[in-house]
This record gives sequence, C-alpha cells and structure tokens, in this order.
Amino acid sequence: MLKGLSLFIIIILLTGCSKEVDVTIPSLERSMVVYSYNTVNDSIFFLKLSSTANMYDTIYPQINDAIVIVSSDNMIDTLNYIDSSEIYFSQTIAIKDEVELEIVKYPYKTIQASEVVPEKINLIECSAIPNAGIDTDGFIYSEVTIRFRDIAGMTNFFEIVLSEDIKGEEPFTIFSEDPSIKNEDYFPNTMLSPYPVSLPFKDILFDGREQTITIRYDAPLLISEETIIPYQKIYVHFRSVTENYFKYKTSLIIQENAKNGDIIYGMSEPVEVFTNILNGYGIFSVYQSEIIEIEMPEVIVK
Amino acid sequence: MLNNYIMRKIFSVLFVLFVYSGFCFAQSKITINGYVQDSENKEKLIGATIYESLQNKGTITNEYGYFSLTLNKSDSIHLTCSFIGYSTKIIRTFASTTINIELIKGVRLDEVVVTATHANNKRNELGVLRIPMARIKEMPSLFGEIDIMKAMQLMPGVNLGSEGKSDLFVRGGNSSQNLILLDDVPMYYVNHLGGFFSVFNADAINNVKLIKGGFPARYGGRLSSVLDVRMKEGNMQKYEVNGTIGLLSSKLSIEGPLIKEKTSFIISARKNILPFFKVFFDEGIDYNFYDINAKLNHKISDKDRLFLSYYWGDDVFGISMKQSSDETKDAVKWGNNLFAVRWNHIYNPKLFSNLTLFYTQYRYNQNSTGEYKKDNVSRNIENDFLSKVSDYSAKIDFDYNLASFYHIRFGISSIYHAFTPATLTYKQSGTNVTNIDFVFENKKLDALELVAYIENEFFISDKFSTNIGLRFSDYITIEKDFYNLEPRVLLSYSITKAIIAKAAYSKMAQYAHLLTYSGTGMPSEYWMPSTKTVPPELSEQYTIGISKTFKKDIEIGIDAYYKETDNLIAFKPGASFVTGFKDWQDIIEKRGKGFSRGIELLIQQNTEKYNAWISGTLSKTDLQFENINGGKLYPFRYDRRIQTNIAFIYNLNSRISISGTWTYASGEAITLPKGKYGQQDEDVFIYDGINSFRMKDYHRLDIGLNFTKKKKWGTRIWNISIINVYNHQNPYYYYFDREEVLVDVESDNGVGVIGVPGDMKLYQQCLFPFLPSISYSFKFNQ
Repeated sequence: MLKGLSLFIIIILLTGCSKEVDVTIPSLERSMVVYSYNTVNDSIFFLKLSSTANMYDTIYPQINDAIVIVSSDNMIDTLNYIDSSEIYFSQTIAIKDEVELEIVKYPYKTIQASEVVPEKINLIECSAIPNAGIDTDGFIYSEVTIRFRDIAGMTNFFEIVLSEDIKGEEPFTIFSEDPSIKNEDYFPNTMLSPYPVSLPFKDILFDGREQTITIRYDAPLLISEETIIPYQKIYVHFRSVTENYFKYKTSLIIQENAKNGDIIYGMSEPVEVFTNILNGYGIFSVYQSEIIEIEMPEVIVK
Repeated sequence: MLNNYIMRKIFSVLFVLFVYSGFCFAQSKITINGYVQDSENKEKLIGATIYESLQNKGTITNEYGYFSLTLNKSDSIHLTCSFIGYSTKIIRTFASTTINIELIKGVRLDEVVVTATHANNKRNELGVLRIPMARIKEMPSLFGEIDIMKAMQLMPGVNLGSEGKSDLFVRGGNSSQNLILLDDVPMYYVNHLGGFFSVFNADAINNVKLIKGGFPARYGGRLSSVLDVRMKEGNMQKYEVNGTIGLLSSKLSIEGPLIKEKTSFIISARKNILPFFKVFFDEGIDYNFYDINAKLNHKISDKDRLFLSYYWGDDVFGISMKQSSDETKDAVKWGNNLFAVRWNHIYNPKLFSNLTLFYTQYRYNQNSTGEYKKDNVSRNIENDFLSKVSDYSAKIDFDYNLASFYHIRFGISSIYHAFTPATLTYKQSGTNVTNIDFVFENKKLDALELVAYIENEFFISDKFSTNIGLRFSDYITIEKDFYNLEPRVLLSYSITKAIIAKAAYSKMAQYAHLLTYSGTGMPSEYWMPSTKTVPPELSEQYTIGISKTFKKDIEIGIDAYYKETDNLIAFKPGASFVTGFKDWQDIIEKRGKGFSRGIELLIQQNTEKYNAWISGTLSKTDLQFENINGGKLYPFRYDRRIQTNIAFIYNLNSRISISGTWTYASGEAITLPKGKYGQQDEDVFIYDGINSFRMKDYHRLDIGLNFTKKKKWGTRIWNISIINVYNHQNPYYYYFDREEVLVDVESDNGVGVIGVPGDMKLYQQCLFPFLPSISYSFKFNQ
C-alpha cells in the first residue's frame, strides 16, 4: 500500500509540467572552436575547426580554411587547414616538449594554445572478461581490467576509453566502481545520469604505486533460445593526458549532466567547460596513448 | 603556548565584562517578577507582554518565560499581561511581588485589547517576526508536514527561495547566514529531504521567533538572521500523547510530569513512511529521514530550574548490491545531533541568569565498500568521506532589571569548534592487488571562539527608549587570531501612543563558512573554518521602521534597510567540492561583497477569531567577486525584487478552522547560456553573465482546513490541505533541450522515418501542480 501511495505522489509531482518559455537571448560574438589532439611519436595532428553559434541556432557554422601554425621547442610549421580534420606536422613530438598552436582566420580573433607533452604510461597488463556479472538493472556486463604502475612524485592524469574501433570514434558507455574514478567530481550519480564514454582520473590515491582499475560496460547480447555474448573485439584506449585535457573532459561531463532537465540536476548551477584556447573555445591537447586490442570468444550465458 | 594565549584572552574578555557590569543603581521602586505560563499545561509563554498603562511601562518575558518589571510605587498598579492566542489578564498589585501569571488559551476580553496592543508596541525591538505555534499548525501544509520555516517565508524580508524549499533567505542573505538556535544551541543543518522540509518537528516546538535586523548583542555568529526556536518543556500537569499520520512522515510525542509541578519531560520522534525509491528501484536502494527531540525540565526550587535538551536527526541514502559473489554498499548520511544542559537561576527579583553547556555536531559521511570475488581472486575496497564540525560550548547570560528606566543583559561564552573539513580514506586489499591504506585530508583546524556582550536598554522617557549593545568576539586558531567589535544600536521613539518610529544599526561577524554544491542529486554541505586566507564574513545593516496601531487590532509596519556584507566566499567558476580531493581554500573565490537594500510592509490583524497578515517586500541584492562575472556586480540568485504574501487563519467555530496563503514573487535570477558550440556531437554551452536572466513570476494559493473533534480519549484533527489551488505553473528551473522530431528518409529499401534533434528550445519545469493532501492528528489526554 505504501508503495502504491508513493507511486501516486510521484506521478502527481512528475506531471508537474514542463512547458516551452520564450526568453530573448542576445547574440554572442562569434569565436573559433578547436578540437585538436596529437599523440606522442605521431606527426599527424587531429584538428577540427568550427564556430560558436547562437543558442537557438540548429547548425554550427563550419570553418573550412585557416592558417595553422604549430611549433615545438625548435621547430615551426605553417600549415593550411582545408576541409580536413587531419594535418601533418613536419616532425614528431616527445615527452616534455612544449607544443604551441596558433590559428588565423578572418574575421575571427586569432586563437592561441599551448600544451606540454605528458609522461608515458607503464602498462603492465590488460585483460577482459566477457561475462563478468549482472548489474542492478539485470543487464549482463563485461569487464576490462588494466594494471599499470604510476610515476611517483607528480600528479598524473589518465583517461580510459573502450571502443569498437582503433580510433576510438565508436566508444562504449563505461562505468567503474574504483574509488580513483568514483571520487572524481564528474562521476555520475549511478541512478540519474547516463554513463560517460570516457573515464578521466588522477593518481592521488595511488601515487607512485601499481594500480589495478576495472571498467564495466554492457555486454552485447544475442538472445534466441539461449543468451549469447558474441565474439567481441574491443580496443582499450588507455591514455596519459595533460591537466588541461583532464579539466576539459571532466567539466564537459559535469556540464552535460548539469544540463539535464530532470528534477535532480535541473537546479544545479551552470558549469563552464574548461578551455585552453585563448580567444576561442575547445581543447588543444597532446597525450600518450596505449591502445590494446582484446579479442573475447563467444560465451553462452547460463 | 596556545593555552597561555587562550587564558590571556579569557581574562581580557572577563575584564571587559567587569567594566561594563560593575555598577548598579539604587532606586526606591517596586519590582514585580515571575513567569508567564499556559494555565493548562504550564508551558512558559515566551515573548508575552506585561504592561502598566498608567505609568506607560512594560516588558516582555524572556526566552524562559521570565519577566521582571520595576515601577514607581503607587496605590493603583494594574498589570496587563497578554499573548497572542491567549486571554489577556489584568493583575492588581501594590508592592514588590513574585507572581506566576497564567493565561487561558483562546479567550479574549475585548476591553483590554487596545491596552494589550499598545503594550505590544512597547517592545524594544525592530525586525522581529513571530507567528504563534498554534497558528502555524493551522496553516496549509505540504503532505501534512507543518513547517515553521515555510511559515516564516510568508513574512516580509524573507525570500521564499525555490519552490517548495524551506530555506530562509533573509534580506539578501544566504541560507548559511542564518543563526538557527534550538533551545539556545546552534544547528548547522536544518533540512530533511533535500530541503523540502525543515528538521523542526512542530509537535515539539513551543515558540519561534525570527530576527532579521536590529539584532540584540546576545546574538551573533551569523550575518543575516536569527531563528530562535524553543522546544516545549513538557506538560507539568498530566500525560499527553500527540501523533500525526501524514502522507510523507508520521510523528509521535509523549509528554507529562515525572513529578507533578516539579519535573516534566517530552519526547517527540518523526520518521518518513513512504518508500519513494522502492517504487522504481529494487530493495537495495533506500532513503530515510528521522529526528528525535527530547527535553527534561526540572524545577529545583522557586529560584532554580534545570533543562536537558536533546536532538538527533539524520537523512540516510543507501544503495546495496549483491551479485553472485560480489557485494557493494554505498551510503550517504548527514545530519545533526545536539545536547544541552541549562540552569536558570533567579538571584533576586531583578537578576535572572542562565548557564548553558552544550554540544552540537553536524556531519556528512559518504561510505562505500566493495567485496569482489572470482575463483581464487578477491578484492576488498573501502572508501570513506567525512566532513563534520563539532562545537563544545559553555556560556552564561544575565538578565538584570536594574531600574525602571534601565534593563541590562550581559553574558560571556566560549565555543570550541572542531572542524574536519574533509577526510577521505581509501583502503584496498586482496589477491593480485596492491594493498593500499591511504588518507587524503584537508587540514583539520580547531578554533576557540570567545564572546562577551552587553545590552543596555534605556527607557529615557515615555516616548524614547534605546537598546545599545556591544558584542566582542574573538576567534582564535593556531594560524591566526580574528576579533571583532560588533556594536548594536536600537532607537525607539513613540510619536503618539499608537505610532512608533525605530532605527537600528547592527554589525555582525560569521566565522564558519558553508560550502555547498548543487550540481548533483545528493545534498552536499560542508562547513569550513575561518583561516588566514579565508577571513570571517562580516555585515553591517542599517534599518529604519515605523509602525502604527489602529482600532480592531490592526497594525501596520514599514521597515527599510541597507545591508553590506564582506568577505563572502563562492566556488570558483566550474569548481565543486564533491569528494574533497582538493584543498577547499584553493577552489573558492574569497573576499566577495554583497549589497542589499529593501522596503518591507506588514499589515496584520490578530483577533480571537482570526489572524491575518499582508506582507510586501521590495528589495535588491547584488554580489561582487573579483574573479566572477569579470569583477562586475551580479544579482544574487534569490534576488526576487517583489514579494507579496497574504495569509489568514480563521476559526469558523471551535471545530473548524480555515486558512489560506497566497504568494506572489517576481522571478528569481538565473544564468542562461548565451551561445554554444559543438564538440564531439555534444552541444557545449557558453555562459556569459551570472544571473543575468529572470524566470517568470511566481504565484500560488494554498488552502488548509482543520476539523477538530473532542473525543472521550482526547482530541482528533483532520487536516486537508490543497497546494496550488488554481494550478499555476510556477517555474522551478529552466533548461534547454532539442526534442526529437521525426523526418522521412529515403533508402534503398524505400522511405523510412528517423528521429533527429529538433530546434533548440528553452523549457520551464514546474514542481507542484494542484496538490491535495490529508493528515490525521490525535491527542490523548490522561
């Protein structure tokens, strides 16, 4: 009976209403937006340029050409960005290099950014279990375990992404019970927020030590007469990232959650997404990445 | 070294007290003293007026129901004693005497109404709001949950905040700037269910008073208001059992005499009854709140009384999961507990004292454990986050009626604050994993707060009176010593018998800072100490007011105020303190300023049949931080420029009462994005200008009906409340969304339909639609 009464009250509250309101929002000066990253020992820069838009716009103006100046400690390259997301730098970059980026495009303000290449990862082991358990919602989950050694004496930042492709463009939503991840500010409320597609974390709890992190994701299922987890090939992207990238990623997840129109997050204070782009928005980053390919055989779930 | 330092401070405080209190007056007058109490249960009546009309002199009972009044000798002294909701009583006397005045509930003599009203006007206070508990209990209630804080939101100068919340935002102040006292003991956290209900159980409360300006020197430690809540003492005559069964929670109170006329007690407990989370989730997810109030009152002699007060209340949210051999438990628990011992002593008819020893604690604890086993491999994890503040205090207050023209109150107190800002403990053990036992701790900082105060109430003439006070507070930490002199001045001038003009100045200091984060589902409030980089918050407030009493008990009062606050703190843009992985001092903006000004109107009428009031507030509050909003002023979130409330409680007869409240408020300030950009298939919002937009206006009508019936066993009351009678869609929050629209797509197999994001639109979410509720209360009498 009490459950029925609770349900009745919740239904009344949820029918509270949601309606469109008309508020005039003044236009904002257009700025360039950068999404750019580079990995160590790779001369290919991923770069995507676009423009900011007004709140009620439905499409973002694209920027199809610009002058891109990339420089590291003793090298400067002036490159053309033309309808492309990958541009080539004339040399590879190494740990501790400082890399600077400048992009010129009229009528936007010239934007600048810089980044220092982070330390490399000491990966020890990475393994996976296709049928690891059943979560509270009754879904079967698979599990990936990463064992690595942290570098002592400095704050190191990491990111884990699981994907079906080697580039990481088709990521899974992932989750972890590990306190190193659960104690991060962005970590989603397990009941109310969707799981993110990347899990950034710091080494405060395990500075200089060996650490094992376990990641969960919903297992793909084939359900016929019996439930089967089919053969899987996944890519684990384990990255050592910069503090700027960490702030960008975590603030992006926090803003995404805070934007939710639900009754819990609706009241939250707005959160600005971090940017290291002067006169613009977005992120320019360099990171170390270990990409581990894991194949898992088909499993029949009992 | 610290001990010597503290001792020197204590002696300096005592010296200040000695200098101020080491003189007295000798007058040939008569003094009448005693208590004012309910005739039936002997509960003391706090704030009752005792007035002698021929000499135009009066006083009010203090927080213990005690009064002392010095008058010129006369053959004909007629004391009029009154209290809202009670009969007015006239007492004749000729000489000094101690009397306990008993007032009868509900009966009123018309011929003394005007006198009583004039007596009320003699109160030497400004910006003090009172609503009798009996009236609060008859007002409309959400889910049958009577809430003193929601009642206070209907008064001028008190902003209603967000829809349904019980926080008080007084004269532009934040909810953390309210000094909330339960039986003289500060409470750090006063909410249940994320702020929708306060922790105060109306069945255990005797009296409530809100001070929003013209602060007497005895109050301090917060900037914006004082909510002084006094628990019942327990019926001295007979046993009573009160209970309420509501939609949200149920409560039960037992009170009565342990020794008749000498010792009484009250125990009151409340708990939620509805398993909201279990509707949608399995048995592993649960939320509960509960609180217990208890009090023991012992009359040692006619001159000595002892009180023991206790409160314990928590909110608990837990998730537990067990899957095959894995088991995880997450629990978040937050709440207060407090304990106080108070001893009242009457030295002589003129001098009353109260000694208080108390302990109060607020704690926020998040704990998760996990046991993972597979084959021969196991891993155990424990993660614990704790933030708490504990206060240990001793204080003594004196109330000295030195002469008919001079009343003095003074006291000293010391509070030892033990702050644990944030401690994170992480343990890991098992096979094939590194054993970890790690503690990440924000620096603990203890502080000793020493206070001395004096209030001098001068009745200079029949027309002019003052209350000039000074509060000295010293906050000693190992890092730094802060001290503040806080002058308090109240001037009161009777232009005519019915018109009084008042002016006040108050300086306040607040040494504890609240960090609160509203970004996630769970409430997260952390109290932090003042440190060498985060100095105490300060405020100065100037108030003027005029009030006039008309026939038929109608009173009209207008107040105007200007308040400046300094050393405010706020999170740096985008920062939060959810887990304590960082030093809290690094993620806040310091030395913020606040500027509030406003005009308030209160029209009220209190008769035997009904209480009614209309309140109006016109106000503006701006904040300024060096690194927020480009250093420019921006509106306080709850800066509603206009707020109007109409409230009435009408007793149709002895069995039925009807009440209603209507509130109108202009929209609260919100921050909306001014632009956006796309990043990895997501819309990223760009914010520019804090709180630069306004929500739509708010208005709501609530109605309550109480059906009371005497039964053989006692009394029962059915309460029916309707919230938002005309179903106005009040904004709770705004959000942008692109609702999915269906579009036709052509493919090799023909034409299909897919969903794509539609236009970006702004939506308003409402919380309470038309919402009826019912509750049943009972009172068993012995």
